[in-house]
Amino acid sequence: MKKNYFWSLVFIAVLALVSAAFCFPQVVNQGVDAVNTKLIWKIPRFPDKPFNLGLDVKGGVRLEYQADLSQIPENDRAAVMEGVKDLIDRRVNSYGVAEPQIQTAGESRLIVELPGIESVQQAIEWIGQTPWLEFSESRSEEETQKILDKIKELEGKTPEEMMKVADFQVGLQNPYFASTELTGKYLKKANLDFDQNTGRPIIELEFDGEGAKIFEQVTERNVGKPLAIYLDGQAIIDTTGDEKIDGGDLYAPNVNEKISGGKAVITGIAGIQEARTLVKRLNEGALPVPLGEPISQQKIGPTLGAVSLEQTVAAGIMGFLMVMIFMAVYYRLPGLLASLALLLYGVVLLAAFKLMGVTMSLAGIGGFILSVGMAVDANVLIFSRLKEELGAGKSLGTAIEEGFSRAWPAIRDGNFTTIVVALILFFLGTSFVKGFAATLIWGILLSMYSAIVVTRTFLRVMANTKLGKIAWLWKPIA
Amino acid sequence: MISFIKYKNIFLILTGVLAIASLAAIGAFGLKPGIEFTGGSVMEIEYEGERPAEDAIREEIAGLEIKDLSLYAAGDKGLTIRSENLSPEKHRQLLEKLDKTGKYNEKSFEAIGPTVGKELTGKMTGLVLVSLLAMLVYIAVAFRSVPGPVSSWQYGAASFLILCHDVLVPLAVFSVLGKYQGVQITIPVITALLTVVGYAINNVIVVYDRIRENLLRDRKADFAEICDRALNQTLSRQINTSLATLLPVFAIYFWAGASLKYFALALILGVATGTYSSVFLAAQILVFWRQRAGIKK
Repeated sequence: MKKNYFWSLVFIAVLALVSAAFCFPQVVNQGVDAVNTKLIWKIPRFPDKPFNLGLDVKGGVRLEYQADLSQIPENDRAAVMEGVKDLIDRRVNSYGVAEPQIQTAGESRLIVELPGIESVQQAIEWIGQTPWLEFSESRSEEETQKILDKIKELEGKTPEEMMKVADFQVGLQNPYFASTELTGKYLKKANLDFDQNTGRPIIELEFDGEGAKIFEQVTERNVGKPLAIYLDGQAIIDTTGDEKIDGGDLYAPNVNEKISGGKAVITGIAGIQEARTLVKRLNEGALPVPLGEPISQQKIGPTLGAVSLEQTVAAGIMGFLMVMIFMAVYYRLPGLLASLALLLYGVVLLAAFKLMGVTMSLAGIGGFILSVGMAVDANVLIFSRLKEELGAGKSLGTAIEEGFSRAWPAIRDGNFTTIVVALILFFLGTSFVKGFAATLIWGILLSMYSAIVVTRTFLRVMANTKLGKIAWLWKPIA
Repeated sequence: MISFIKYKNIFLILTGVLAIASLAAIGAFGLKPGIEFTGGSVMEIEYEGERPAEDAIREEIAGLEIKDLSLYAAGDKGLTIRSENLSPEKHRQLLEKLDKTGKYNEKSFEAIGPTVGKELTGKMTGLVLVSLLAMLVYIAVAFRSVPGPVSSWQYGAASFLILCHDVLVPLAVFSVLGKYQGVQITIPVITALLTVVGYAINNVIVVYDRIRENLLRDRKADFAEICDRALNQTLSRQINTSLATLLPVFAIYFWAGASLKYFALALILGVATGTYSSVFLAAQILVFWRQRAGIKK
């Protein structure tokens, strides 16, 4: 065996093993764990990254909204949409939706994907709520104590038992802060600015006429005390740094003096990022953008998703096997080698999808299965040339090389047209079309590699072994 | 060697008849666009027990006055409900009414408003036009310097005719299915047909590539003879590649999730038609044109 073929083979083998391990880390890690129990030093476990599955196989709800931006000046629209997106993200997170996806599309479209949610109505209710921004003042110590006592009393009780406790409502209140009359309704807008001396970010608040009066009263009675800002009943931003908003978070700037005239400035903000988020959320509370009813709704039940995934994966495996058997039976040894290359192609492509986080929707898996069939086209073209060259009395080695070079123009042209169509689909299509096109494009590119480089290496290696002398192995059935 | 050219008139007439029949079917039955284009709702439910009679279900939900309502049985316990675009409120009411017909599970629900429908229609129309245009440009460039008796624009024109034929036949089948089984032209079906466009061009190019190669090798041979040789040389490729493509597509059709079923069907029809036209039409059209030009002279 020539040396360069040896290294090509090694490369292909490593590629196959790493890809397979990447696709099925559970299997590898079982092996690693088994070995680790018997060894003193530990082999690291293989990273277990899940496939990025589409909503149609995970199950969940997808809603598309058309925001009403008629009241918003042209220049502010992009920022306002960011605010809406942020608000909904925050809200669905607080309801415990895992991995929600919220995207803006065009100027005023909002697409919300909530995996694992079963009720469209529930999702619409969450998203459709008008945001509720409120400024709360601190309670007196006795009040706080009273509420804390009540909370203790209610601890560990079921809702039914709670109802029987006298004044149980007291225990459901925020023990430290009480709502004021000042809400988002009176806030005209919030602006991000920078302190001219320190260069630190500050936020300017502007209240309307009535709001200015309320703000004056609220600040007057709270000089030297904090004023907490809540959105949808929770702290407006994450202050504990754990990237979620819960009972531990509290955003409450101190009131330094009585403020009249309806303009206030918040200083002492940690960073520009925090300031941006605050402004976004304050504005969303100040001028809520009506989303109305969704313009498209979609729900896939979890069972349906799981069943579709199972069926489609089964179809993929069947498709793969049938193509492999067909190739091996019809083209014999070269066909068998092409089947091996095809297997490699499948594993590498799946690993690539996982690595790049390509979303595997049903359409994507469909594109992948289709590409399996198209992938062997290059091999079919090459093998028919190979047969012709052998028929013309050339030696096996020469025939292989000639077969590849003669088949190349047709392979190139053929794949080119499919890629052109797939690219058009990808750039102009809807999400179904995009998912299909993306996997098809990757499939075609990788299949060319598999058919041309991998199969050729296998054939060259085989031609130099004893098997190369057995003529019938290299002849297709017809 | 099989003589494909000798009986070319039979194939051409057969194809003509098929094309006219397809056009007639589409003209008579029309195409049923899916809700992604027209707007509307589709809901799939599955009863835990036996599915109640259709009349009983209709009666129960009659009070909601849902427009364009149609019910389709799916399997033993399943039911597909198609209607106008349901608002969240109407959808909720419908679910409540259905509760009274028996215990069930809402498997999927989709509602698309008229704005989105219009948008998608525009988008898909653009997609189809751009794809066809791209293929035309490609053909024109690919065959700009073909030697021999047939000019390059004729290769291009023939490819384009074949392309139309390969899309027309599956569309006709879908129009018949739409008439009798309510099958709709959805985005997956259009996607499949556009893929067929790329695939069909592939097949034709393989044949024309061979004709070009044969012309370069043997400048004296008769054009019909050259074509016949090319068809025979490419025959096993055409059949094997189609088979290799059809095998996984059939697997999708029979085993994969229901939402891919008609996507797979469109591909099956397209690939089958494409294979037929690459073997029985692509070269035959060229020879036909050439001979007719010869007679005129």
